[in-house]
Amino acid sequence: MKHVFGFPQLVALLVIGSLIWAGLGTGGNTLKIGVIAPLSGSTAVYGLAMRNGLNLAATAINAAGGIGGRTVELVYLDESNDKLVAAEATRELIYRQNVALVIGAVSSDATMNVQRICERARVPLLTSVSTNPFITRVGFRYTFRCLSDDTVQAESLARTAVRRLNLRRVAIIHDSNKYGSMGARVYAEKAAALGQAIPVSVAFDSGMTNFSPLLESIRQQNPDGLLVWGLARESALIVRQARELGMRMPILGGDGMATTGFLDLAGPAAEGALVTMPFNPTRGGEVTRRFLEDYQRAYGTEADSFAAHGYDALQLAATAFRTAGERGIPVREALAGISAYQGVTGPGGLDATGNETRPVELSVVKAGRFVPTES
Amino acid sequence: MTPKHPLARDPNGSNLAFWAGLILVFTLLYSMRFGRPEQAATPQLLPPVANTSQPIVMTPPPLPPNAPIPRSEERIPVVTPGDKPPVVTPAQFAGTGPSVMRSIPAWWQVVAPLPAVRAILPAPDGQVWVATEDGLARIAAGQVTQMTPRDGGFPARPATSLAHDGAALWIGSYEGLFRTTDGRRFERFTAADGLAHDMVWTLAWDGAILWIGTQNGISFRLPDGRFETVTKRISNGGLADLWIGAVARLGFWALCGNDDGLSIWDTRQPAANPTAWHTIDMFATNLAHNWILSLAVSKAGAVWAATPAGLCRLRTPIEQLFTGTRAEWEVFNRSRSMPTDRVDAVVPVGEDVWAGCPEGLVRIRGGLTRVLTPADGLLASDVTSLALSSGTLWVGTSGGVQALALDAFDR
Repeated sequence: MKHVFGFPQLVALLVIGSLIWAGLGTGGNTLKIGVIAPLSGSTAVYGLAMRNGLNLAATAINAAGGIGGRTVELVYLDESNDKLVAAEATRELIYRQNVALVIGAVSSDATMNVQRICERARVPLLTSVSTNPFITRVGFRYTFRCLSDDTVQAESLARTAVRRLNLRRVAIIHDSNKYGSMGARVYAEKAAALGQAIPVSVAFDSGMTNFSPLLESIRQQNPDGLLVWGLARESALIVRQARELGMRMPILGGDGMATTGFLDLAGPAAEGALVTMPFNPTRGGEVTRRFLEDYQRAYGTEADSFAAHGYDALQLAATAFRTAGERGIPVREALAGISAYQGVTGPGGLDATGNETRPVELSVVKAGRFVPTES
Repeated sequence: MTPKHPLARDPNGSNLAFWAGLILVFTLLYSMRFGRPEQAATPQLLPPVANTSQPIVMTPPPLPPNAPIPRSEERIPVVTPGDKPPVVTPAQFAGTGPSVMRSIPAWWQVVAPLPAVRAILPAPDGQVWVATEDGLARIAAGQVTQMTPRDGGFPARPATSLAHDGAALWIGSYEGLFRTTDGRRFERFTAADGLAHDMVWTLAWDGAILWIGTQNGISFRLPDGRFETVTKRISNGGLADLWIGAVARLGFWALCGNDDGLSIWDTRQPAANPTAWHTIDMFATNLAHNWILSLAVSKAGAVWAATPAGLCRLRTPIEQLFTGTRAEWEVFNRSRSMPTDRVDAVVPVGEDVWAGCPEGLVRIRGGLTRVLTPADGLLASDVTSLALSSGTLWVGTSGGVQALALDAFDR
């Protein structure tokens, strides 16, 4: 009778078994965190910067031993600035990938559709980009934001526009999405409280390229300032076309314009524009300096606000996971307990609603760069 | 010649098939574990939803003339907790552990710890169905049965919403809409079948039509079994936004709660006609918040909307809204003794209204509130869903389901 199993077969079984064991072991030692962001399309400039910041943070965390011995694995899903896709991505991450926490999204529309799913599933959501105030004012216990919201940004802009630039009549042109419409609404409220008039406010849809008719209607009102509340691509086109139409008034904008994507597309027309800048590279000290160097080394470009806030978001999540592990409390409770932190974006903190507490600074475009200014 | 077993030792010391197989298995495993390119680590999303850009030609058939508003509590036989042994008696529950209170008020008749509850439905046959984060659960004959994808009992998680059309149970989920007549076999409907989107958030049965609120607008199922869809695009902006958190029917009007307010469709007109729609939002009216988390219509026709900033009762008759009258709301929030501003669930019961909040269950009677918390026997403080069958209020929280005997509570 022949032997069916011999030494080579035994070796094969051992090899296969070891590989399966190794695979299972590694999988069980990983902490999966989901990330939803536009990694393609017209708003990818935000998502890609955020991804760079997150990856840099993950590398640093894993190099230091991970979180409680577990390696951080970031699971990215591209939502292409589509809130339906963002919702589907959230379903994928929570119910199929079983992530422990979600970071994202970028546009407030998308983030709102993400947060409703996270809240029901009781999976913490941390956004480092979306600024619509509603996101942390709906009484949701599982939503957190580590970025100054539009209320803070609009107030800072309006105060500067009235008190420093002495602008009395500011026209508004804004995206019709929830980021743009709420930003414009909040600015109008803050401006009115400071005695500034809003003679005209017009909305545009994402993807528009010809803003001349809207700008003409604004010019007829003869405002002494123009507020643009939109994302980089549309804002850049608006600024260019406004200057081409001979509109020379000061231009103001929210942090949707605070990206090199805006500068690249707007070109010289962006000079002098005053925008909110949640990330001031000169304020964070040694931690920020090291981050900027590491970022430059890793990606060959300067870190912007979205990269820096992405870095801080993952570090905040890591802190929450560590605290949860040490104290035996849910990650949500640990995240809610972070009332103060020192990030690469400077000192910050989360309030009782999960919202960022720090004020925002302003930058002016000079020689093609954002230069911090006093608000 | 006797055929050799593939793993048999080659008498000549060479078995090419074996070594080739080993290399193949090794390569396969290696590529699965280590060889994934970075891009492949990103899971693919589901295929895009079906194109829903066709103009809608159907309107839902109107309810019979002078028909009363369908009321589930009229069609559903009484589910008196005393009829069947409770799933867990209050006494049993009181002794389940040190973290749980030791005595339970007598008004709690049924207590069933379950995964976080999304919806509850007392069915016509006396069973109570529960949609949970893990799937589906059934309470019948004093037993609770959980059905999840893990055990093969129900194919999706979470189950988000429930409705019963008198013949079949409908279950909404993020994986589509399911129908069952026996609780064991589930027929699935998706965007490919005409649903507005696979992610179903809410269901409502109005006595003739099944209404489905999805991530991308509403669908309704006609008596012939076809689904019609109304999205923001199809309605030319009449339906104010995509996500639909709640749907209710009042006479000719379909009430669609979304995150830009309450969009009301006069169903006598095609959905593509913008004048068939009126949206009430927080910027033009005193609606507490634009996000409509739950809707309910009382026997008297009062419209209640649960929002993150308060529970709102519409004071203005709907027909007047379509003639330009500004909507007025009565708002219940913390300033009126609600435990939180956010309200997730609402059920009118006669002259009373019950509301589910993150910090308790609230009864509003004559404008005054009474709040029940875990100290009063709630399984958890966050009341996410409510349902009524005669004399019994079913309450869903992140801790499970329980039934409150309204008579006993009033005593």
